[in-house]
Amino acid sequence: MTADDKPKSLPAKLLSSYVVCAALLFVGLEALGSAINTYSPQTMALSPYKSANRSWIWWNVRDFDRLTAAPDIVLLGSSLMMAPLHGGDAVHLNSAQNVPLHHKSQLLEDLLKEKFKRSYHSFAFALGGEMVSDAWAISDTMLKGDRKPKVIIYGVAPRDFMDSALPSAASTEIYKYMSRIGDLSAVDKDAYSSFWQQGENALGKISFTYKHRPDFLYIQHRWAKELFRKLLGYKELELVNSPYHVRKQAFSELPEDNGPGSLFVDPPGPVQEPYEANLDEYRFRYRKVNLKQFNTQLSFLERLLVLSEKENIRVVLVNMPLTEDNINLMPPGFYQNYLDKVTALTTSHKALLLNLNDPKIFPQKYFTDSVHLNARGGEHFFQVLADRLKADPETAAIISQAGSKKENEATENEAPKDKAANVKSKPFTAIANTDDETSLAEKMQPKLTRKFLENLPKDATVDDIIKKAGQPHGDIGSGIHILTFPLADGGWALVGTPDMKSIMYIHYQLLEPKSGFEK
Amino acid sequence: MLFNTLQYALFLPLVFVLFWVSPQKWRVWILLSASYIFYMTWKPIFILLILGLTLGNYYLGFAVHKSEKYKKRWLTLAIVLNLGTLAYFKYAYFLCETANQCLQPLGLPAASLPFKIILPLGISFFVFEFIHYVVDVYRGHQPIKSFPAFALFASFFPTQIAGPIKRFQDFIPQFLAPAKLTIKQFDTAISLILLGLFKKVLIADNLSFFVQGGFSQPQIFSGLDLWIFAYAFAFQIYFDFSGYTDIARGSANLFGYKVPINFNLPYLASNISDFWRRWHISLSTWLRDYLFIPLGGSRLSKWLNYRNLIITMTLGGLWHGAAMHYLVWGLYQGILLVAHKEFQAFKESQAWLKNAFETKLGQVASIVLTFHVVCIGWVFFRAETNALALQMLSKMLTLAPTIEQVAGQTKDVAMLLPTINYPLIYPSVFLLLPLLALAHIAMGYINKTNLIERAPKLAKIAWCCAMIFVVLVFSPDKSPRFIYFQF
Repeated sequence: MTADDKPKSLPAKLLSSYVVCAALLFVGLEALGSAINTYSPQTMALSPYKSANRSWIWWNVRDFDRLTAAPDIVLLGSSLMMAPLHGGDAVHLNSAQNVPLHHKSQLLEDLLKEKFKRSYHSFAFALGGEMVSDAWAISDTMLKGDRKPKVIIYGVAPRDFMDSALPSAASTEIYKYMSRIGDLSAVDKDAYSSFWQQGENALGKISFTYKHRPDFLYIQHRWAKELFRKLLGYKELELVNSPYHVRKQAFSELPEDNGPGSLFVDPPGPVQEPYEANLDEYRFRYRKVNLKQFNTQLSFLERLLVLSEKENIRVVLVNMPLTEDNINLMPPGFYQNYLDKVTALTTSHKALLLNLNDPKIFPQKYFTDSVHLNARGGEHFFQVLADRLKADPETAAIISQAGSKKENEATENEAPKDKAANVKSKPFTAIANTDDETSLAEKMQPKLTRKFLENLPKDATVDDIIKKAGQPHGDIGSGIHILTFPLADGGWALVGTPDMKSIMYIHYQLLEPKSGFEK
Repeated sequence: MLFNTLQYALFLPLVFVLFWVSPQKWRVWILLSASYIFYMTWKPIFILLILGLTLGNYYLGFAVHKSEKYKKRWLTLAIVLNLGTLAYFKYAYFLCETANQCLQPLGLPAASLPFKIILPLGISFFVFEFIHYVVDVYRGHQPIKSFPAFALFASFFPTQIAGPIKRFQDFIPQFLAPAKLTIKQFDTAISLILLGLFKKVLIADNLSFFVQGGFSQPQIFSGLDLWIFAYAFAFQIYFDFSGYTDIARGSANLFGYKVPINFNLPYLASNISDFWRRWHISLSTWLRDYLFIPLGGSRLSKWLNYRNLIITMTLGGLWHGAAMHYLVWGLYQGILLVAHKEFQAFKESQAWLKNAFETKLGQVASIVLTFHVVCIGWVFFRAETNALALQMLSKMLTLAPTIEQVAGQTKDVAMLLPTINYPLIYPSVFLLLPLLALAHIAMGYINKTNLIERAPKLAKIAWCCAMIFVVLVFSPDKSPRFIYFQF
């Protein structure tokens, strides 16, 4: 410092700087914010469930929290599990599956019911890009105590252990979101791979503002939208309701943001689904062997197994089917090494490993690309899985003790074979027996049919539907309007419209649709 | 190491403390070491390049200065060394591709480079500083005697990667004089850094998501959308580069050094000539002094003057990147400057026109028109190819409708506009762009009245505190690099 500052003492000199004063004020405000949030949390009402962007995991956590009882079975895995889950149910229920809202395998529940004569509730935390570290984070945060399932079925594949597109375990959307909900700090060293990532994580622990930046973003997001609505009168501000080509552009740059009707998996048509060899993507993912990442992910698998042992949860690891094309992209010896390591861990922690990667069981006709099963493949997958679960005495014993007998007794007299046929031929009414919400549609005596909607001319408007059906049962859209109509032939139609006139899309689903913003 | 990272947030205070606790004689060495470490955090091997060029230019400077007979030859050698290095690293692929395009119609085999060339960060900036040095020594300035001071001149970490392009006559005396720092300087420096981060992380980075969406697939957007993308890019590049410059200037100020300003509210320019006096000032003055004037400048006939303008701006365009669209952007700027000179001459001869432009309305219209002409130029600058730029411009100039409008699928204007909404800018982009334009005008007033200097301490404290909060909260997870780093 210079001569002109000499007469002052050092603290006085420092305090004459407005930057120093601002820094001190900021530290003070941080401490105040932290104290208020600790001792009077309702004042600030910061909540991880309030998020500026509704990622896939956000939807799952929201719906998991709405469960009234712990599920019997939880499904974990990446898109390799997600694809058969939705595809399998689309075939089984013969209706499009609304992905952000569909978090269970009805097919698996029904297959197990058939085999074990008990009713089961499943919940799926199978999400695109889910790494083993993510699966552990979900288990450690959500699947404990009174929310723990009896069985975890976890579909794994080599990509879940080594993905060149991933800088660190903590960099996935799932891990980031779970670390807001739970305390994952015990594994920080493994989750944040570089010194700088650990530094940023440490900053989040030191700074109240940095830690709560998703909360502040949410508040800002809400205010900005409100302002925009007031000033310009627009209602439709969600990315998910933007035209698809705009969304597609944004996906590569922006965080995930999904709406209640943003993705549907349709039942397959009579023609074989086309196969797309997505080898370039996987060439990139497998392009270099990152042993550190592989071993880190293995350590997360071990954590998951240890946690499940502690919680007395049966873990069934499923080595997911892949095409030969995909396996051939992996560095030599990698696949076998992966399988050996996973087998060793499974054995040492008394879990079950089911190797379903067999081209004889899953030939290429069951795949939609080099790794994902198509809808028919999904149906086949759960059929094989249910058989294998039944075939393993230890797992079968646990499953036969899980679920509820009461519900089973009500339908016990029905022959399983006939019942399965019933599901196929009359999917909506068959499920309606076990679901009050679908029976609501029946009680309403709707006039609208799926056939009518499918035969609507291209220039049809919402008014044409209302003329036939009467006023919609509800509007669940958060951005555009998503009008819900009960169908006379079972289930519901969701009509997306930006202006209450033109029709953007019509989707069908079994259960009564709910707004994505209810909590 | 980027300015908007945790690395820099630790690096800068560390160097700051080391610098000020060390004796005066060590300080240049400390900054030089820090600058080389800063450069090596990207690709350590390229330290050899910057060291090699520094040594070469240092000795060539003396050779140019001392030699009477071969002065010009030494200068030529120095320029060939610098431009040759730049050409090799930056233009080899471009030259190869251009040669192939010329050779192919003749049926000759296509040439290819047998090795991969990585463009070293900041090469365009420090090469221009070296050229300035040897040319000025040739013109009679004394060469720099102190090697560490000379090495630091080119490698000074705040300006190493993207300028401003410094002049050694202004900079070296600051190194050699005892450095001092007052509380006022410290406050100004930190405020500049915070302002730069605010511009970068809050405005430029968030606009970049929006701009990327529009420029990568212009065919799916309407002419109106594309104008909004062009406006958004205009503000993105301004806030990105001026944000970088503010951080660079603030960082330099922390060591008691001043580096030149690079921007002076460019979108308030009333004509294209005025724009270039306000935009990337250190580059435009460099181009004037070391390209336009040596070509003959405006001393020659009107047509030769115009030729010089076009050559200068076209090469200036190519300096930004080895691609045809940068060349076209430069050419466009040259043509605009020529057109402006012609229009000026015409305006002077027409009293009514001159008077009309001197009215308030005329001045505002000039600013609006200049801004739009500049935005059209930005389309060439940002689009990946000239074909894409032309496609965008044809839609912009005809206000072409979107796919949905053509298909009659939707009539809702909101649905036609991109509603990307994360984190601050969207969906407010359509509110924000006019606000940014107004902020530009407000800044003109603030600068003119020296409002920031005169503000009460409490207001400055609140402003700084708000900046810290905003930078912490709104920086996107994936912050794009500063745009000018690629040049």
